[in-house]
Amino acid sequence: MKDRPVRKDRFWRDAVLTALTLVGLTVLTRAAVVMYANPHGRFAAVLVSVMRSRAMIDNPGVTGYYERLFDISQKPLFLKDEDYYRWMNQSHDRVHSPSFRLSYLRPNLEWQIQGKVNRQPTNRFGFVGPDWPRQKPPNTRRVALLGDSLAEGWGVHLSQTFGSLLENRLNVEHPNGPSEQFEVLNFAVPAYSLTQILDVAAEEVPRFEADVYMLALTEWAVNRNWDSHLVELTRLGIDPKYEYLRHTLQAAGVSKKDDPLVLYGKLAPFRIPILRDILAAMKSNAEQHHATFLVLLVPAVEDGDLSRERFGGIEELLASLHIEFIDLLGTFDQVPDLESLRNNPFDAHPNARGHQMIFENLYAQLHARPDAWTALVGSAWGSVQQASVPSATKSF
Amino acid sequence: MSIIGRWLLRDRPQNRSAVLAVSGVTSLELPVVVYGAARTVANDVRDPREARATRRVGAFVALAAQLAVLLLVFRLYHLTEKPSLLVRLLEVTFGAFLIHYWLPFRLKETFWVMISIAGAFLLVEPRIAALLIGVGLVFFLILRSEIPFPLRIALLALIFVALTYGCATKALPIPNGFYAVFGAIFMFRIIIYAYDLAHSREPARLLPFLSYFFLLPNYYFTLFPVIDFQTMRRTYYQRDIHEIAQQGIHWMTRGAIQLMLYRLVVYFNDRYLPDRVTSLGALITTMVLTFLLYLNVSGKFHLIVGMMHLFGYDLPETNRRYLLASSFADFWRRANIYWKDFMVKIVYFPVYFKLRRKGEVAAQVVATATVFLVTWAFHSYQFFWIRDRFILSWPDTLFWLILGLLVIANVLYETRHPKRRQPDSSWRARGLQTVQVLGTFTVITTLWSLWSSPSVGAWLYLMTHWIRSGS
Repeated sequence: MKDRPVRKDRFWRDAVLTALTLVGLTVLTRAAVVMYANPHGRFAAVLVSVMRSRAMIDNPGVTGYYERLFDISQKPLFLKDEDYYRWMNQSHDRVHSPSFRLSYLRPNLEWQIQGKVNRQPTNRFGFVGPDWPRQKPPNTRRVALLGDSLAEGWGVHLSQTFGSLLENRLNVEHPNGPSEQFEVLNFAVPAYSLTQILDVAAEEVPRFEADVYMLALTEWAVNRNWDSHLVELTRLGIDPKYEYLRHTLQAAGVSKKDDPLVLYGKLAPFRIPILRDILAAMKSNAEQHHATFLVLLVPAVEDGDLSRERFGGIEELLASLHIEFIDLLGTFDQVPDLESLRNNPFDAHPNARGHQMIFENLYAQLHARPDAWTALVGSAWGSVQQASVPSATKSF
Repeated sequence: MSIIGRWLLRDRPQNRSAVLAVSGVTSLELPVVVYGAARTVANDVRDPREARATRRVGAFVALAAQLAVLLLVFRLYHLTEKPSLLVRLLEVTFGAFLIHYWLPFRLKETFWVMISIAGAFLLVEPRIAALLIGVGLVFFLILRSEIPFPLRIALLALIFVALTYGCATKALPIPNGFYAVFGAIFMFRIIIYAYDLAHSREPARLLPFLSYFFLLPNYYFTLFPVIDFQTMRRTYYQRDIHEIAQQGIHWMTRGAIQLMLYRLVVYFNDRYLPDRVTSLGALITTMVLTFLLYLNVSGKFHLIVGMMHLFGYDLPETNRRYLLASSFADFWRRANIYWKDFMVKIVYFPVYFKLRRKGEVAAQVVATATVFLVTWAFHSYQFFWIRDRFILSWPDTLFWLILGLLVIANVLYETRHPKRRQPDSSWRARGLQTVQVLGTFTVITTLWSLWSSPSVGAWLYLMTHWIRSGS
């Protein structure tokens, strides 16, 4: 076989074109930082940041055959339920049982180890932080912080969570006078769906005489993962406990024999109706216990406007239920380098700096929103003279 | 001969051997397939591939410089799921290229195999790497043995059955991470290798065996193009190394860009939960974006084959402008080309040649239908090795059934209305071509959305929700 002559011109042409493309891609990452500062260049900069994002790879939003093939979050399938619990209970941090909530944090842990960075201790009730007396101490306003891993403070020290920062600030400012203390009890549990959070609010919080039920709503609770708990309940044949959940599962036609994927498909049309029922039930539950109900829309450290998009329709839903809420979704808008706010590059949970920013935005909005301030603190802003401590507002 | 067969031979002369081998034509007409590494065709003739490996300092510097910037791009863009592992893979691959380039030709493939085997210990757990190599050597010894060929195949099947049991039950003392990598390496390529061995006069040889199965990128990429053994052997240094390597870098760059675009697709598709698809525009957008998720696969395949090019394996393109397919058969030929070739070789031709005497059309139809039946089954088989479970769902079944029927209809149409050899460049022809591309894209996108749906009910809800929410 005779060889073709080596086409040197073509080789060099291809080499130059490829090299230019590669250099262009390199330069683009630097240019994006400059573009981010310019409102006209913001969108293009966000696109570059998405193209570079490591968190985007672990995004639960992707739904295709090949995404399912490589979805590392899928649990192994077990033929027997007891095998499932045996496997799940190998966890150091959690106890799994065939009850409505399915799992809870193991009580009295010196520290949790899941996620390696999560070193928080648990109290005897199976929530993060030190033990709380059931009975509220005198001259104390108790805030029950409800939510998932983000409010729990996944990956940060307990004192660095936005809940702890809020408690500290309120106890420095004494907005209700020097004699009244604030306690923010962290009832948030990692990986809880809104249905599980609802159960914590209904079963646990009332025993601690909370004055405020503060729900930190995240994109995970309202978007793709909203039904993961209901799917597990159905798969394990556990009663959904609440009448409206029973009705919905019946209407969706779900069955224990269904594949989890099929279950997700069947529940998809019921997302907003179920969220509505749950939020209404949580509000009603708080009111029954003479507490106020306040919702925070808390962003994860997501690229672009992903968090805001995932909350689409939720603000309208809250407004229609007359629920007081504070929108914190713009907290990270001005930060071009989002990885500096993440626990790790793949994880959209905020690190200590991210929690600090969430807290600062929350406090600023509380100052700006008298209704929200009153709902949380129990008195109008400035109604007590001691509230105007200059040092308390200097960071704004 | 069928349209697919004709098309295959037109574009890919190397596949002629498969056709001929199956049809029983004497191997005198077959192109020479060199199963050894640097063997000469005859002792007194210098291997022409040695000349194609001639070193040029200027070109080498250009290649090395591009690889350095490519590595930088991978670092800056943190590409794929395990970026640090990927960067390690690229560092090993590019570093190996820098040495491999300067080695004498006779040592090149041995060096590549050594790097690939050593790389296993770097990219997967040492226990798993040792097990993979152990199982691979057992496979080789079985295939190399003198026992009757059907018995050799039965022994291989027996090992597969045992490992399938282990993968499904986790009852064997084998690390869990083993099965996915084992599947990625052996699940399909062992079929091709055994098939080629059955049609070859030469016995199995160790170096080609190792170079075919223990490919460095395969430890990282468990979804791997089904490389054809004959093609790999035949294309080894079939052109000047600089041309081959440059094309590889070009494809790796294309793969990197596709992986970046994939993230944008994920980003923009994220907002479309089924209950938020409340307009026709939203439906079309999410369907197109769901189809474009395939960029993840084509990007990785470009990357893998690009890496192989650096070491002289002049493998063909894995995906070719599949968004511009003008018919269903054309789409089947453009997307995941290696899979199509695999199916044509292992399924289509054997069935077709067996049935041809009963009628050309019937043979084509049955052979094509069998290809899609096997493709459906093999996708579930692939899912099993990577995910420990078979996928048996209606969307998956319907997707392959409908696509199969469309391709059969397309093949029949093309048989009755053969395309002109001279391309028609009139405006009418161009307009028709555009309509065909758009039509194919629309149907494939719709089918893809069905394939991606968790159930048929969920897909129907997605398709119709915008109508209900508008009313």
